[in-house]
Amino acid sequence: MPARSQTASLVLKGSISAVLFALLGALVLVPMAMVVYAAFIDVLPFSGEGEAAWTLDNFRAVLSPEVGAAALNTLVVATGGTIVALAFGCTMAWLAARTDVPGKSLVHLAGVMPLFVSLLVAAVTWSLLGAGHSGYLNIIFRSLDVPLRIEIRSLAGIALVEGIYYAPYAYIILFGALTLVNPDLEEAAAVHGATLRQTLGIISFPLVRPALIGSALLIFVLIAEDFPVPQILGGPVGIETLSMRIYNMMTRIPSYPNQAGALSLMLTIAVWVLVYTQRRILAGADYRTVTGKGLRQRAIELGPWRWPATAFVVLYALVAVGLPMWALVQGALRANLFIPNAAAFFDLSQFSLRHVLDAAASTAVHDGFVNSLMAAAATSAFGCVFFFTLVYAVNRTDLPARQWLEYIAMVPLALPAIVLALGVLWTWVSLPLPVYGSLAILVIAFTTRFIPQGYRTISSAVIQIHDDLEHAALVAGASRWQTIKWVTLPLVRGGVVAAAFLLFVLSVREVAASLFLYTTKTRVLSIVLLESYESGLWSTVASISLLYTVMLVAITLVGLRWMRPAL
Amino acid sequence: MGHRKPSSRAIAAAVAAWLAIAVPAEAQLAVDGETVADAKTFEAAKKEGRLLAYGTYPGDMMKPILAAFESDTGIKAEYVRLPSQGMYQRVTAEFAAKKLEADYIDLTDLPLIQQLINRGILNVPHRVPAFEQIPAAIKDPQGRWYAVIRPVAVIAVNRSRVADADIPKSWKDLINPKWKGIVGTVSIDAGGSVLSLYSFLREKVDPDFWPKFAALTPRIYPTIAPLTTDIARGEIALGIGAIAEPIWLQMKAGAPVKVVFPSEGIAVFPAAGGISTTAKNPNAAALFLNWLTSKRGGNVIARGGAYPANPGSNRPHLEGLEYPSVDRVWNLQLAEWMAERESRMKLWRETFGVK
Repeated sequence: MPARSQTASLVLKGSISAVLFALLGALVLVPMAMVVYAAFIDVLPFSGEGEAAWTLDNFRAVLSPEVGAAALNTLVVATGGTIVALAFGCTMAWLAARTDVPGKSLVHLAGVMPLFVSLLVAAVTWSLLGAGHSGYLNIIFRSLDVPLRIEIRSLAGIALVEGIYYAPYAYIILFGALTLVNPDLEEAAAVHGATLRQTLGIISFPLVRPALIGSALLIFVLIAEDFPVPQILGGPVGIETLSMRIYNMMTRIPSYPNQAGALSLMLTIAVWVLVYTQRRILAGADYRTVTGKGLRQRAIELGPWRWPATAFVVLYALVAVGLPMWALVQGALRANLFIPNAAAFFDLSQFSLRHVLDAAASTAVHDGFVNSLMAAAATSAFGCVFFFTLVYAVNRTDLPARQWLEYIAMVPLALPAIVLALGVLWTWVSLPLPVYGSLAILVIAFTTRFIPQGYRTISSAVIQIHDDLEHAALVAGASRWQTIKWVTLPLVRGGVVAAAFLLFVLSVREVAASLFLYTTKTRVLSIVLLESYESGLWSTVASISLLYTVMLVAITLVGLRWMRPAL
Repeated sequence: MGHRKPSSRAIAAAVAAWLAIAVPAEAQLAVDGETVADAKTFEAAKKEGRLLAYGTYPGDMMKPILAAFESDTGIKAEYVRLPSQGMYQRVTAEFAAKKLEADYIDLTDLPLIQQLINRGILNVPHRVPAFEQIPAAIKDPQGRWYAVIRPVAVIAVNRSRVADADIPKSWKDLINPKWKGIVGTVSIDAGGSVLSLYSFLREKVDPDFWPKFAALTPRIYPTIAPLTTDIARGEIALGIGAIAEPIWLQMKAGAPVKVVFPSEGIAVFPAAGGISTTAKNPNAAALFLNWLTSKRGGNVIARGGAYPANPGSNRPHLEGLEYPSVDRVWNLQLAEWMAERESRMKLWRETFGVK
């Protein structure tokens, strides 16, 4: 290569790298720096609260026995929840991606649907279903004289609910990865006499180890950071987690945002260690199974296992989707919350469509819908382009310091939503750009918050594509852009569409990131939902949730055919 | 909604204006014979035409209040709602960045209001027309804030779990072993409403109320919403807190619940509001404050079940509930609030085992 073009390529690489670092820096590092700064000073930052002095007291204050107990609870809930989520998510993903299980669209719908319900609504729904005395399930057990009582307001209960609602992450990421496993390998195992279980254990799941470990890490950290579920289920029975502690530090009067910053910083470091360990575990092995040799998708025939598999799907759909939806319908249609006995569930005189119709006709709900859809669509579109570029830069180029892009991209994972929201507020309110007070600030906050989710989803797909396909294109004279357009993107379409979908749904239901940033003109649906909840209007909350679940189901069914890679 | 038609109000305003002796060409705002704003303020407010309020009172409850204000004055009111601490953080950050757009701000924590004043964020002395009638305890002597809306803390009972004869009639009736484990409260971390209630219980009911109540191991809820849900469906038998309105809604919808105003009186907490120093519509904000503290505005507030600032307004009224008269209502006052807040919250957490 002549020297001049080498210099040009270096300049190009340098500038691409600079743009990516600048964007990630503005979205992630600056808000993070605000939080770090807050952790080391003794006054509320950026509020004009007087001279700030440096201190380590915030760290000393959070290192208490209560924080230790909360950390232990967090560990139990996050570990239990991750196991539940992976068990459900992986099984469902494998069934949907690789087998001839009947009713695949329904499997798919059941796999992603728990995602549609905001965690606040999910937590209340499960508290309605599984509270010890008046939980719907316990009322039914009592009427049927079944000597069984469940108590969802326990560590096990919280772990179960978290697991159910984070299972779609495992599902989406594993689904993308499993569709890219070369069936020839599985077939080879079968030819050599391996049973289905052996094939799964030796070939299929080891091949998707990056997706498996990646989603486990993501789910573990997200559950550890999740706030509404432990707060609503654990709060009344005295269970406290780290996320609840941080939230309380932020919202108590007087509040301790500096201590919250200190605790968040410690969590961030813990997450970095996890991300680093994950990279070390995956380093050195080759997971690329989509090569130039071509790939024909074939479904594994389940044979006699078809029906147990169907039963599993139905059971999962019932627990993850059916029961909560039933509770939401009860909430939306019933006049009040009191249910004396099981017969009352079917007492039609108690039902009316009034709340649903009121919600459907309310201008606040309309405006919220429009704002949420616009912000979510923009987040989804911008996010996908940006995250794909990041993933591509990290995995496919020799840009300088590219692995740091990944470490930075994982930072928002560790920051509790409310801390991140305050960091975003501090950052963007002080910048002389006309974004504060507009919908754009919400898009920025959502994008920042969901970088890890979007990045992980896309990177799981990219890691599996062998670069010989791209090299072939490059050698044949295609430009880098043409190669991406005609080779890489079509192959990872499933991952990118899954990420787009995930970003869209997560943005619609996000509460914490909107809280400090919305105005009367940019009030989003989740804020309308939260306000109704706080006013004790459960029927309104249930009605709005039902309406938007219907909308998301429609979007999913339409989007379904785009989620498979074009092979 | 029992709103009068605008035409009759317009006539009343016209009559009042006509009756006033020094009526200039521009008209003051008078509703039902009560002067809400002088001509100068009213004209200037009309010119501004809109109002942006940052408040803590729930959006659904604020809606009828803003609607009545709008129909009385023709000024369009927009509302952003956050809980007190979140609102404080947002307001201070916006102010520091010179981007605070709110015309009117209220919080349910008086020391935080005082901090907004000290920082020059809420520092517009304004004497509302009803200034003299409003008790000193619920206003700033210079008129920088008024406790415009005062929601109540009550006992709520689920009758499917409590026999009629057992329904508590007083706060003292709560101290009874039969409620062990089936009574609920909101955590003191929820803010001014809970601090006010527990200060009242200690000072006016029984100095040892806290440890006695804590011995019943009440369930401690982060906010009123899950407490209300659990009372309405009978997960717990009874609870205390600022839950009169949502429990009343459940009662109206047929749930077997009851709101009790205990015999010792009740504690209220203030949504204390004033005019923002950076208000883009300062006259509209002044008009809003005048209206909220007027007899007429107070009547609208009372219809939502909270006590207004104006003692001449109607007693709060929700169909089927008998609110006590205003002299049986207790406020935590600013000086005590400032002096005792931290130590009292610490003591509460220790007593109730919340760290």
